Amino acid sequence: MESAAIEARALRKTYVTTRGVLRRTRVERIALRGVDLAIRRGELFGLLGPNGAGKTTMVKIFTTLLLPSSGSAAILGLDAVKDPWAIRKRIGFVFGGERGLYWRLSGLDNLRYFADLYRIPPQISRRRIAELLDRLGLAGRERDKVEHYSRGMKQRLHLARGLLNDPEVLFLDEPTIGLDPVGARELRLIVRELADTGTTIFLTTHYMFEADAICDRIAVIKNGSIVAEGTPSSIKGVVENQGVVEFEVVGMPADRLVGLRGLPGVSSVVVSEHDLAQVVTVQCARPADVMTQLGMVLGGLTLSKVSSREPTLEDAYVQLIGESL
Amino acid sequence: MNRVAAEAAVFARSTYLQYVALFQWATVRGYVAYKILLPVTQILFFVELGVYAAGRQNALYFALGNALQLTANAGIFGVIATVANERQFGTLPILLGSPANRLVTFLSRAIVNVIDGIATVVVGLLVTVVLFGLDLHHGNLPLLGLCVIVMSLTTAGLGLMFGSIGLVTRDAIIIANIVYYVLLIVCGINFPVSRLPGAVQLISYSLPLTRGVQAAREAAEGASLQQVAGLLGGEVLVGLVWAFGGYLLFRVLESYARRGGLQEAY
Repeated sequence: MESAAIEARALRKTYVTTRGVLRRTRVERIALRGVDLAIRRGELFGLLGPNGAGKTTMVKIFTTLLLPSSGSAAILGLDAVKDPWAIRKRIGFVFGGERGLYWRLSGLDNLRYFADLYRIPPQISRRRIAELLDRLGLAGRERDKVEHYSRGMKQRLHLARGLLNDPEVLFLDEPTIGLDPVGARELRLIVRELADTGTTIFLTTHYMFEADAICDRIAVIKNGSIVAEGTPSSIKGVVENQGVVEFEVVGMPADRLVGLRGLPGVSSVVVSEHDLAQVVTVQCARPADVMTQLGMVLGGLTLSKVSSREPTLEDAYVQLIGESL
Repeated sequence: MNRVAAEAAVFARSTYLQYVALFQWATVRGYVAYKILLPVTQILFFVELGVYAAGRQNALYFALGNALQLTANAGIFGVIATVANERQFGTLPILLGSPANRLVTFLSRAIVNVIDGIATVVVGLLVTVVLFGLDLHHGNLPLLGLCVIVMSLTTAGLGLMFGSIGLVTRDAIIIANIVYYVLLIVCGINFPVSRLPGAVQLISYSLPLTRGVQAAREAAEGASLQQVAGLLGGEVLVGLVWAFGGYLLFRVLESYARRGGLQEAY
């Protein structure tokens, strides 16, 4: 039987740091709490979770940059602890953000340099770099210094760098972070195309719609544990038989929020800032009942744009994470 | 043979690209500022200080010592800054997550600083000749050149040792400063090692530069290779020990960084 492209068994990671100057105290922070995961070859798998949930830690372990505290991680059947060198030749990885490139070099020289690091023969790297520049829309700007690139171009250059060695497995850690909507959509299309050509992709993100749009399967991680795993539609099942009530309000007092959360059938209330107003999203079993009780709980406040709708994947995510944004 | 030539071409290209990528002095203006003006001011400062303290007749001693110490400028700062800059640019995880041979990568980063060190000393010696009248007519110039090459290599060896620490700390440049000034004090740059307390002399002779500077001073006065062979041999040996230790430490700390996920701290 063919081994999984990526596999984790009871994977744990605890970071140990110290605090204090004279009296140093040892501080332990658990990043992963026994994660089990198996990703098939050719799959585009999304790992979702809030900041600090353990997404990057997992990517670092899979890319051999970090050792787990216990448990095992395997890439293409190779142990990430014992066989890092064999794994490194067969994977690519891209971290989000603008760092990780040499800004004083041109995009072309960045790719040449990284191709040399991966010991790709010059005749192959020349062809591959030209293909990647073309595919990622950087052709024509390849001789410009990276410091003159837009954020979107830098991110595409990151991706080109990650694809230089034609990896069987590609790890993308929040690749669209900080990109404008058009740039992010372009990158998502490229990632989907890559997966369609057979590359296994492990994508971390905290944008639910991103995972919904391109991933074959997703997992949601919270405080170092996987709390849900499946296809986007199966994850949506978490909020099956539920509805969402949304409205805008200015200056939502905390005690009113408590009252809202206490209404029968309400499973979560999320408040997000929108200009000067707050958008309140209430997940509940009976939206019509909640709408009739809004006036009672929020009396005296001016509500606008009150609406009821079907839950989305993002609602499912919020339900799973169980946090107030 | 073709394969060797191709490998050499790749090595040369990587070396050049990482030099331009990592160092702010890899431009004409940057090079003039960092590699010419800065070293010249160091020489002028210590010569003036030395003349004030020990008289004009000793100016050459200070000028030559400080010119030779410039090998450490590239060897220590250059090599240590390599790792520190990779960390700052966020490229260290990419480097460490690649299948690149660590020894080749290490050598590629050190060699460019060796060449840089030699060039800087040539500038320093020219300044010494022009401003302080260093007379090299009777000097053994090839031997002086050899001494400079050897010191550039040995200080880069020391740089490898302390550059490795950059894998697990973000403050490697502070370490570079400390090492640079320790060398300035204990290696016979501005006063003979014999003036130092016995215990400090032990440190002097366990560091690169001490024997090299001594050999170079003698070469400048016309000594033959046989006369300084012991000093140069000792210098090479000390440099090799530091370089080898640096490589081992790099591998150990690379593993340590893998345990703690320290590659991205900056």
